[in-house]
Amino acid sequence: MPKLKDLAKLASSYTVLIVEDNKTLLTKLQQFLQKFFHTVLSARDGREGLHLYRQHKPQIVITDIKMPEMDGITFIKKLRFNDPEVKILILSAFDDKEYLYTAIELGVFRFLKKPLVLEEFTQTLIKLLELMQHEARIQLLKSYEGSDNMVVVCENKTPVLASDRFLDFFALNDIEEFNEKYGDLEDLFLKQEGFLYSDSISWKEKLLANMQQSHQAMIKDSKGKIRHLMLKAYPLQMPQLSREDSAVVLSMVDITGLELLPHQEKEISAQKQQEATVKVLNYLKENGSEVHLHNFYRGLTITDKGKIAFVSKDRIALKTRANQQKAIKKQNWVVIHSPLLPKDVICEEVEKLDEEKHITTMKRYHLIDSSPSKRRTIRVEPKEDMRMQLCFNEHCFEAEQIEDISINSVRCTLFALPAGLEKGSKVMITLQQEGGLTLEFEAAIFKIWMQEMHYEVVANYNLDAEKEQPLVHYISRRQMELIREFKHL
Amino acid sequence: MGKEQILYDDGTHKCIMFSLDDEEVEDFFLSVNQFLIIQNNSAVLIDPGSEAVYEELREAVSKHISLDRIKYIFFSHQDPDVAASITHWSIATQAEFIISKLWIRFLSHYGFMEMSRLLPLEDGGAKIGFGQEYLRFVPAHFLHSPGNFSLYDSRSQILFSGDIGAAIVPNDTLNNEAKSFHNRLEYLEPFHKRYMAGNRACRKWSSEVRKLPLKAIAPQHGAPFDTAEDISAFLEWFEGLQCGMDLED
Ligand SMILES: [Fe+2]
Ligand SMILES: [Fe+2]
Repeated sequence: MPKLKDLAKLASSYTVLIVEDNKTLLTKLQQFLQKFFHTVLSARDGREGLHLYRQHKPQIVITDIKMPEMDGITFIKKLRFNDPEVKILILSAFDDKEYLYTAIELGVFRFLKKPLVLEEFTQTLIKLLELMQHEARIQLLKSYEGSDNMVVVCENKTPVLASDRFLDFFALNDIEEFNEKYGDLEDLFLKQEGFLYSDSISWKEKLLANMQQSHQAMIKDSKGKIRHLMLKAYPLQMPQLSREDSAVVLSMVDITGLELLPHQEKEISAQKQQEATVKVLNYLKENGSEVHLHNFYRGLTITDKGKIAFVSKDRIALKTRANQQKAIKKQNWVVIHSPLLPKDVICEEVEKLDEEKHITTMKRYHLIDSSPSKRRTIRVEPKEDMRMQLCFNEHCFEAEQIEDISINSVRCTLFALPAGLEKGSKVMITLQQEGGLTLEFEAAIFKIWMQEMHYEVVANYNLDAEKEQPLVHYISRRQMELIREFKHL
Repeated sequence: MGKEQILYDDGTHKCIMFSLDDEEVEDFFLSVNQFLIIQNNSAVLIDPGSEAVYEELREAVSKHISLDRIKYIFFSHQDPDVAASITHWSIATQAEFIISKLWIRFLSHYGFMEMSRLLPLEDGGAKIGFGQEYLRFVPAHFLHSPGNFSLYDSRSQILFSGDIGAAIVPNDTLNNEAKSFHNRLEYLEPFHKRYMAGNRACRKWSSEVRKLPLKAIAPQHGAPFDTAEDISAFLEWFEGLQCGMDLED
């Protein structure tokens, strides 16, 4: 009988109380229900029933009417007085109208006539449990509904309930209409690089695997207009759903008004961008979404996840790991990256660093165009024992310091420059490390800055394999050294 | 067999197998393959291996394509013969690195810190499209690593299977004499019985793989299975294999 299977699935997390003075029937009911419900309680009359009810708070009560001590109707009245929610089924040989009216008045779910027909009983229980499940979903939906978001409850990746705002967005009446039109959400989001849906991975998988993150998505509304959404998935704690159902709540906010969509080609003013940034940061904070924090330690990338604890127009507090705090403390800056932000945000000054709560408050934050999160080339600060010589037209100068080095460029400071050195000049560079790397190669000057006391110079080069190999080895060893150094900081 | 073998080439799409081993440790010889997929003017490097082969592989790869054209470097799992050179490759290229999300936190032990260049794979895998064709990361968890993927190239129909199908051989006899499935079984069996977690994992992977049109299965150790008979003989054997926890009391 497939119905019993449904019953088992629906009932497994509930407690039911049976109140019945006929001992044979009571035992029979108990044996039957025990196969499906989490807990089955039984009482011989209303008084005992009330006692058990207070102790265990069952969600469902099945009661007879005619019983010694306390009759069914009195029992139900007393139950209802304290608990308008509990579901009640009446099981009785009496079915005169007066009882029926009282039952309706007391909000009884069904009036079942004795002798009990198992088929009908099962059917009624299934109906009741389905109703309860639906009520729980509505409850849940309400709890996620905020001032401006749309909410959908999905079970097994299929939408089962949506908020009015969500249905209005698509100009639909109910979730069935939605499912008919959009299938199971699969084709809902438009394909866009950097958005929830790119072809590399099913967006559902991505969403389910990254519950902690907010995502952005593009979607067409009822008029076919493209809207920009921020969305987040929440795992569902719904004991009424059996474990094999994976249920999530999707919460979405329409942020098209912020004009952040990449396909909108018109220039966005800096002020508008800054405003949008504050809004997005606030959204991230409110949703407890993770952001990525970027930093460097002598060229070594230090990235961690973090959360925004506070944000105002000129301050931002970040909660992150001790590691990242260490880097922030050293550098006095940090870069925030989130797929929701139009650009990365740099925070330029530490105001307060709470090491116990792992919260760092930063001042002066703003959007930046070129961000370390986009760095593709590894550059490290070499060890002090590395010397560098720069030769131009037979004149050689010793670098005061090598700021950083990669396989195709070096940045250094010099106290004096060879005469005539300018952007594009061809130079010879010699790198020498005591008892280690020695390299000589041609390079081109890329940039020269004049500082107060010295010059800062960047030179680019293209090494052949033979010269690149030792440099790659050097940089990789140096990275390892820096990892150790950073750990012991 | 040489150190390089073209597995597929149609003019715009090419799959190359390199077989570079660390010759200094011949006593513990392990024949290791690295793979390169070139599509038009960009490339994916698969299981580049340890530091010991980095230089040789770099040279071999750059004969086919400039290093800055490597878009992705994929690691089937975290083992040193697969991923230990990650730092070198992160310095020498601008590629992004694809590996199961399970191993992200361990990569700094290889000296790798460029987390923003990582594309962690979710357990369900992922797909990278190019035109009508795609690369698919097929879950192969617990075979042997708990976060493990095979890579399927829809254009060449080659499945790069990592340690699955790996033949552990003392020298390169395999490539000359023991190429067919039945001849190499003796090199497959001990490794798979001990390193693979259990038959359930074998069956799960096989049933996914059976859905794919296959021209070859190319493991990280030993020669590719490249005939229909060998592929089906291998899959049949692997599906029925009792291994790992199946053999524990
Ligand atoms: Fe392995
Ligand atoms: Fe291996």
